[in-house]
Amino acid sequence: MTELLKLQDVRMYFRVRKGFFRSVDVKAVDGVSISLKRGETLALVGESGSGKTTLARVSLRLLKPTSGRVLFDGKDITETPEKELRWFRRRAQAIFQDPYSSLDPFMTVRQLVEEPLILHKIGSTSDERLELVIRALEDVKLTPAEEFLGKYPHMLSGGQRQRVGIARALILRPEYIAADEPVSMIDASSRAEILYLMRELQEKHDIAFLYITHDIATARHFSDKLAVMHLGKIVEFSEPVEVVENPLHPYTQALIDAVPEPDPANRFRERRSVMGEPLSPANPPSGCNFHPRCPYAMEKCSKQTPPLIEIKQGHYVACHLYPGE
Amino acid sequence: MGQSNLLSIDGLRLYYRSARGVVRAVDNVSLTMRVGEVLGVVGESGCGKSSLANAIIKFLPPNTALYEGSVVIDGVDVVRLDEDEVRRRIRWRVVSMVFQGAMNILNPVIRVGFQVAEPLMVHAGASREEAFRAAREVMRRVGLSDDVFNRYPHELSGGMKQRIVIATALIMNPKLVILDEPTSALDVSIQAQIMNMLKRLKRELGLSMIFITHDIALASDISDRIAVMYAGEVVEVGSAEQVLLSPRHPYTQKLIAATPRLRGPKPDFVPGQPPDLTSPPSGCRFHPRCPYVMEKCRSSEPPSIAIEDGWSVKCWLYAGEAG
Repeated sequence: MTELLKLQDVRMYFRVRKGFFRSVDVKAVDGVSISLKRGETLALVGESGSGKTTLARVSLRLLKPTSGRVLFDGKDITETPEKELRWFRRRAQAIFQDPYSSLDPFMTVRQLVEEPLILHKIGSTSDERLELVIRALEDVKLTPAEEFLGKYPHMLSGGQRQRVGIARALILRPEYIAADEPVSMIDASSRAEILYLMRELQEKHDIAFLYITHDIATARHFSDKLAVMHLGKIVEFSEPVEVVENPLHPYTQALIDAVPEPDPANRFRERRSVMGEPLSPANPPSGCNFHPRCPYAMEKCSKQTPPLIEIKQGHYVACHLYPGE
Repeated sequence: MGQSNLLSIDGLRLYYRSARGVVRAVDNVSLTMRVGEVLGVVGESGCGKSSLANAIIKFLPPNTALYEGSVVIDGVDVVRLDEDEVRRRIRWRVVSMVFQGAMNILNPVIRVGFQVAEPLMVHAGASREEAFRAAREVMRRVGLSDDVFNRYPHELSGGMKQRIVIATALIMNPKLVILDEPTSALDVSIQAQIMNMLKRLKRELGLSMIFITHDIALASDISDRIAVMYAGEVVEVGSAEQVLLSPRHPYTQKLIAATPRLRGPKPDFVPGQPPDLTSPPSGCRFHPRCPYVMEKCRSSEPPSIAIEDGWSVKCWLYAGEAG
């Protein structure tokens, strides 16, 4: 099976002014390659500032990368001007983190879900579009759909709002959806429901998902491949079970240790955590950019950037602890 | 650890007026807390957990429709005090609160050290020197280095700002600190660090806390006892061991099963939506979403049934086990 989406050695630098004469490059994404097949989910896990959202924006060609290539369905769209991207805009969609601010509060559910159809001139009559809106609402289990059509976002719960966001993305029958922290603002008790729904829709419509999250536990259960990002670079990549069962990179290990599970013994012990705060991509450390936070940092780590290499079948890591052959 | 009650809540109700009718945000809640204990309050958004916190410190919005019952803290019933007395005698010095998102409302043009010290000067009439000394001390306690004192909020990371907010809550040595989702906007690694810091405060100062969250796994990280709220009511309360290891209420069971675990089965979820608190369901409020619903559940409200000492559940499934 061929790849639907392919990012090759993508770099996304933002020039930020520092003082009057100086400016620095913030390396939000620094040499990342990923690929996605139809019907597959790639989870991108990392903390804030890791560049995961920027990477998603590049994948949707909302940003033109500083270097590297973006390929969709075999076509190179890295430099394609916006007016020639209409076909792509229809086939690639996004789901956003915040269901409270990503929906216009003055539009009804019907208007919100219908809007993409109007923008892409789909459905000649209002009745035709209404039919599609109802089908999309049924797809995301906002039923009976007729009851939701006239509602405004404030009348819905967080989970219902996120379903409206999903219906909006889904109504154009996209082949690729980038979901940026789609459940992080939803109650813990309802998160899995939304993720199951996305999984179900994926199977039904053969959609490729980029699932961006800081939560490695949900990534473990709702993805086919898992990449861990730290300061603009992928530091570990494999199948989710492999990453969670045999985490190699110290950062991945720390992310795993940071996941609390409901255990009354937790309160008697301190949680292992990564040292310090997430680092700023504006001023990345030399060598391996994780070294200031790494418990195993060696001299080499501050000097040389470790490449992402395959340590065992399908399991890649960028860390000097695992020298390649 | 002392055995005396620090807090006894009995029959507490807090209702709000709204365009759709009266919202029963806190409905007949009774709880007790001992000195040095951490009580986790867990439930979905809109279940009344933040309203419960507001009711404890009598922080009532203008559209309050009903506020009754009793909240006895340190021997004083807050419900019966007037606003002036609550401000003078209770808030900050007996009970302080870390509001949800408080780190985003630090004053951007005032040095953070001053913001930590301010309650001491305003509420206790401390001198500037005394207050600053106390502020430096408490900032050290929450893991901030001395040079942070003279910085402005924008110079601090999210984790440091949250520590500032917690330091402010501790400055007057309150007997109880209420923390409302103190880590929900933070990265996982920072969340772990803040939780470790809170555990240290609990151990070293014997600090009593109410920890409010929608995430029962996070609650387990610090709570000695856990109260599960649903639709304005406490549906199960017990020790962390009782509630987490052998949850009785179907809602508690669902909350625990909904936690995504790294190892083990895929997470479950609570189906359906939380009810509208202007017209909660008849009988047991959880019945429309309950997998074990019986005829009785639809028509009559379950009583609070004691399973063991200090462990009770509001569910008809256990009506035979009383005693």
